[in-house]
Amino acid sequence: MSADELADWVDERTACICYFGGDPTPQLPHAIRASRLALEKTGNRILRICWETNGSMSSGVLRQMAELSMKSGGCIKFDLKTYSEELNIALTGVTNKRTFENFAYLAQMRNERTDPPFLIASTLLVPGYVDVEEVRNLARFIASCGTDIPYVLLAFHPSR
Amino acid sequence: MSDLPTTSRSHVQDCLKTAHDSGLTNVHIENKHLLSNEY
Repeated sequence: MSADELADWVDERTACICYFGGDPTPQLPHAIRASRLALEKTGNRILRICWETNGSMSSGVLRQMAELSMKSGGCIKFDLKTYSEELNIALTGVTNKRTFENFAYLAQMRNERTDPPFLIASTLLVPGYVDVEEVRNLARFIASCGTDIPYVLLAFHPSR
Repeated sequence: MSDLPTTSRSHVQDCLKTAHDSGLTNVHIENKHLLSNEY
């Protein structure tokens, strides 16, 4: 489906487009184009552009996502999987350095619009891996970016 | 990761308290219906 075709699915009942599950990062150029087309189509009516992501995209693409969400009233739900880089590599195969850089970038934008919140952090509590110490370090990092940033703790289920 | 248990209530409550103690003022638990008493 092309970006134009996806944007054409937006009708008068559509109030939000949320890109999530799996991560939208591999398709971001497509999603960004579709979002822009959809916003052009809806004009001044509310159409929020939202994302759920692991935050591993390049900074240039992140800026485009952030601009879309900020202007449309949407949010970015940002998955901080682990604080430990070693643990992140063990669980995902990649470093989390860019994730933290990207989160900090979004955090400094958040006061441009506080309601509804622009940035939300989340962590999946994987038994045996993401323990209290991991959450403590993640929470301290989030708090260093802003103590008012919403933080969601998610239950893990082995079949989901 | 199908060999892992579901997150337990005590695990999430400890993490919730830790997040608050670390200075965050807006912390929530989602997927509460999945929580177990397995550990």
